[in-house]
Amino acid sequence: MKRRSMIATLGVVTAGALLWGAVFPCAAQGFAARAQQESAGEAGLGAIQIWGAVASPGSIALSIERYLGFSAALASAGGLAQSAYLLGAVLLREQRVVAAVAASGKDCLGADVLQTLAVIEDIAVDSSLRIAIRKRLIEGSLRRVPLPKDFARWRGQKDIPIELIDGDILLVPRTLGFVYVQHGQGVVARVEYRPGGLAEDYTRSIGIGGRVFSGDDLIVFPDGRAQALRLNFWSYEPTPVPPGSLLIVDAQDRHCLAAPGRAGE
Amino acid sequence: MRAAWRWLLGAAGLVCVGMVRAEPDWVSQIGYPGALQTPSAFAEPEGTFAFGISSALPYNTLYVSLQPFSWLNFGARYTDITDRRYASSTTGQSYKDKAFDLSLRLVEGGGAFPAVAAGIIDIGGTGLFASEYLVASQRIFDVYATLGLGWGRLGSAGDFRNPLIGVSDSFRTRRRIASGLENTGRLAYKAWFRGEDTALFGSLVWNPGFLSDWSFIVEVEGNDYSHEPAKRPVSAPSRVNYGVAYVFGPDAKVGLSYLRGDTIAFSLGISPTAGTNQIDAAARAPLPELASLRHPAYRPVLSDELARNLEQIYRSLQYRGFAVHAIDWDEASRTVTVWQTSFTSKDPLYIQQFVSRIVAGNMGVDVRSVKVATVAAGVEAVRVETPYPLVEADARGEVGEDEYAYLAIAEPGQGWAMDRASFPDLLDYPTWTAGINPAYRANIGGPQGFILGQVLLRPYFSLQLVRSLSFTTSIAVNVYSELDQVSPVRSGSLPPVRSDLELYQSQSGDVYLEQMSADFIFPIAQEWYGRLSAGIFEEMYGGVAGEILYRPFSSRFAVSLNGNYVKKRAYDQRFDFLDYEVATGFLTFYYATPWQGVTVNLSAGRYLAKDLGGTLEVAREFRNGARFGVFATKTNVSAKEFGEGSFDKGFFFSIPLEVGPRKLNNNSFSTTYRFLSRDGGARASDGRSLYPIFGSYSASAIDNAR
Repeated sequence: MKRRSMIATLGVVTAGALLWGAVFPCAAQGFAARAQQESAGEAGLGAIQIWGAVASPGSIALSIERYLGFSAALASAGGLAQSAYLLGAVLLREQRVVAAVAASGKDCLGADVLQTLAVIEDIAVDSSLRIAIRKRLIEGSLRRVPLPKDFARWRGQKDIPIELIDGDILLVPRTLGFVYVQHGQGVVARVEYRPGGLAEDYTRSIGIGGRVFSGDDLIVFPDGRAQALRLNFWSYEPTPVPPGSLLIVDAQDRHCLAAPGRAGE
Repeated sequence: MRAAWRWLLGAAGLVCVGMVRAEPDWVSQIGYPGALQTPSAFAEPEGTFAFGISSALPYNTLYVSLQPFSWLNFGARYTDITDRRYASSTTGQSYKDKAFDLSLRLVEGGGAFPAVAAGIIDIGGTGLFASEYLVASQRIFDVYATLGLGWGRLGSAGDFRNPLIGVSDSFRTRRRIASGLENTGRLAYKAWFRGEDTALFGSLVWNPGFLSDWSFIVEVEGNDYSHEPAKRPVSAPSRVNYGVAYVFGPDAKVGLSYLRGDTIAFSLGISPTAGTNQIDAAARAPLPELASLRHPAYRPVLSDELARNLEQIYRSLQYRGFAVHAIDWDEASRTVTVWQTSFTSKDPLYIQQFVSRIVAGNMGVDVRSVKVATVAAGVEAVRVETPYPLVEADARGEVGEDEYAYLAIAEPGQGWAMDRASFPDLLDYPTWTAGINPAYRANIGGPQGFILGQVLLRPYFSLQLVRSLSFTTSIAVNVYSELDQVSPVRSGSLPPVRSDLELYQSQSGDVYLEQMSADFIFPIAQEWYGRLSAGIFEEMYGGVAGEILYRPFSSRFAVSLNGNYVKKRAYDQRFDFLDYEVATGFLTFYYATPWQGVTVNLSAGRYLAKDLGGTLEVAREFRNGARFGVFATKTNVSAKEFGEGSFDKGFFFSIPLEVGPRKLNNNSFSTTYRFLSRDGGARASDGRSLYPIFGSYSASAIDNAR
């Protein structure tokens, strides 16, 4: 009898859990992720972190395979929020060889890193984590992994060919309302995003005008790709300025600002 | 009496265009930036086109003022000196002086710092009103204060000795350009900021917040009217002027003033912001929803037959204002390509969004990518590709327009690819359009009358025989004409290739053939375009012509080479020709600078009078299509051979007219003004130029159309 009631209780709990999982799949996944994290933590398999516009931001433990497919990782974090801005998603990975980068110091950060530092204040992450990420980006122990150019087109598709490994941090911003402008090595200014606005509209709005021919002006798109601004003498590339872009006017260390080009994958 | 009516009609026309604005207007009674008669460092906003009239006897003024940049103003005007006779006039009209002004803002100002500007009035030519000034302006609450120092006519009161004499003694003498027709039209730079005398001028403009449409003006002139071009001395008991101005529209101003202590003056003008970089997206037709995102009950039933679905795409697009030339379905890449010409927009991205939603919503099969090619003049000019997930994300509102622009792929047109489509030649030819346009042609500044005009009806017929071949015929029918009075004013020794325009105006009769020509426009290769033209190209010339244009898609430049063999038409403008025939040709380099929308066109070649030389054209282009520019042509003829004006030069502006939500209105109001129409450096129109067709379909179109 006791055994029967135990079985019945177990059945009710299981059915309840199944029902709970069906009704609140994110929560179920979150629990599953946490459970997985706990077991993984016990096993020492590592974890990834997903922050920002997902249903359940936080750490996700890795399975025995020691990596997680991108879609699975997002599912573990409860899926993307409606307002997620995939073009601005930032994947950060630990950089083992730190010394060479750190030696070059703060003045020689890549364009994609500068863009990450500019937007990180506006990506909803915990302030202590934000400070830690900022510090690690500057010292070079974290690097930004370029996502495929058409990554942002794959919203809702399941075959995103990106794998997350131990220590990865994925930041998914909500649609950003600003464009960031840096003049030389000065402070980054936030300018309200204006649909259809061109780079010169933003630079002019903060008093940088009258520029003629310069190869030292860059736009760093929200996905970390960079392109010379339209202030080229002969060539013309369209330069739409999506929200979250960083405009660098009079770039001081052009050799340091190497980042994947707009056309590159 | 007739003249009075003209002024009155002009005034009535200006009143009609007004609506409501609440800020001071900085177009003076003369046309340059200023208060009443004195200049200021404040000017109208960038892109302003100002036009107006004023009367302050003994002078009446008709002005045009352009503000291509916030820091540069250029103006042109006629001043009617009412008490002085025009010596060459056959009708006893008063003297009309033509003058051009330039004003440069040197310091923008702001906060505690005033704006500072310098200007030159009546740059060249007769220099009857020649003046220079340096001026500072500052806003103090609702009062706009200006203080300046004037040279020349503006400094004739002689308050101070010219301070520049201290720098160099050469500033002591104000040298004018030597007389003689060959010297007219030259810059009088040797007189600038020179002369013994300078004088202070200033103004206070009060634009009260509680009466923001009104401005109350008091100013002190630096001119004491002691050296005026009027026949009789101009009395000036006072240097203080008072005025009131009322801005009764967003763009119109009427002013009444009391000048010099004894003269009532009035002014009326408009100053619309014709050039703007803000594109009004709301004026476009709304994008269609993606059918696959509708509620299942409202989704269209798609056929299993591909051809039927493609036909549905064709019909949907045609219904929404697109001419669909061809559609291609590539099974391997699952890509749909649509070749179209839109009658609603020229923005390749907007067209891409629009067409790709229609395509994606009407395909019963799995589409991976949609390519939309824009066809101009029968030739593929640009194509944009988007993968289906982006189309869907866009339709869901999940991507912004800049994100969309970043992720879409724009490419140059692919030459003859349209003919290899799986469903080519979807448009039925021939097509035709016909209509009647009203028109007005004028002769300004001639000895027979200041403005003599002709009102015309212009029936036209345009036949598109095949995709690339078109015929255009335009006839002019006289309604009312004063042009039978005009006669040519000859100067110079070149063949009369343009200077006998008056003979065409006076002898054309009541009906004449304006144009009857054919253009065949074709792709040569990717980024290369060609044209062959023949027929009667314009009122003075007909012949045959050809052109090749190289327009690299991701570049700021383009190059064209055109050549023609033209014959001068008979004055009655029917089908006969005169004896004069000539081959002309030009190599033209087009360059869009990276600097504030400035474009430069440089061409070199052989002109109508068989003279060799080059033309430089510099223009400011705004994203809404407005253009303000100047040009000059110098050929291997001497100033004496050229005649009055020394060399060909002038300015032009083009202002786009309203674009409606459902229809792309390509009309614009364009005027080219030559300082003097002479024979040196003259060109004939030789058909439909390629650069205006394909020049805008470059990578810059992605940025500029938004």
